Amino acid sequence: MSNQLFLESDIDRNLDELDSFREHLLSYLIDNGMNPETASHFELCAYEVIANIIEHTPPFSGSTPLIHVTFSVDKETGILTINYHGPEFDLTKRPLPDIPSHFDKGLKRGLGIYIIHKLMEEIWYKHKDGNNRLTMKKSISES
Amino acid sequence: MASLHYTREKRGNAVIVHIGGSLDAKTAPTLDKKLGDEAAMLPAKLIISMKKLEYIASAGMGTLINYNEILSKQGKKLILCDLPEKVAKIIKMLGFINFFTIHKTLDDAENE
Repeated sequence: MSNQLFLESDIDRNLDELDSFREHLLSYLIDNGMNPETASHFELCAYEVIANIIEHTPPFSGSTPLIHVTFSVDKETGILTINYHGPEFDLTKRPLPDIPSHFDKGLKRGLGIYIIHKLMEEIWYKHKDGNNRLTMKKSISES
Repeated sequence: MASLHYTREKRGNAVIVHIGGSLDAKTAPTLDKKLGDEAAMLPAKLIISMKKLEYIASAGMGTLINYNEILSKQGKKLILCDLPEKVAKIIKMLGFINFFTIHKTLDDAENE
């Protein structure tokens, strides 16, 4: 994939718009030469993070409700960045679920964080002045 | 727009549910409700054919995990079959493959 690639989107906080975005992201990545399996990992992780924001993180009053997403490539690494206004939520510090126990108990929730940690290679979180930025990276060298 | 397609049929001691479309944060509650209705009257096993499933997210997987356990407690069985390649790869990559009973085809699932 070219280092010149750059996708940028503003997503309204609703699940229908998120669904359109994830389809757009997947097509964009595959059309630009990414391995479909790797592309599906970015698609799923973007979906998990943004769905969590839509469902659990209301924007501060007066701040933009839009979720700003970018995808870029740097030296064979895909970089997905998600910016949004709202309360601090550092998913890199959340405990990961124990999967066998998750199945034993039949738990419905808590898989999103596990999926992101499993499919991405690096995850960074920063919170400043009400703005949250989550950055996820993964090698795309096999694409 | 995310949508989930759902049809069901009863064959012998099994209820077969065919799902298609997206199983995600928006549609998982719909499947949850439908499987809840099925579980109450289920004879012995529930087979979910995913042949036309295009996308699955954690909310959808959570619903399947939940009913896997609910049916197990009732002495019944949840079987997944006809997984599209994309869905199968994700479930395998996440390490969930050993926790579900999965068959390649509906025939295999019915013969389980």
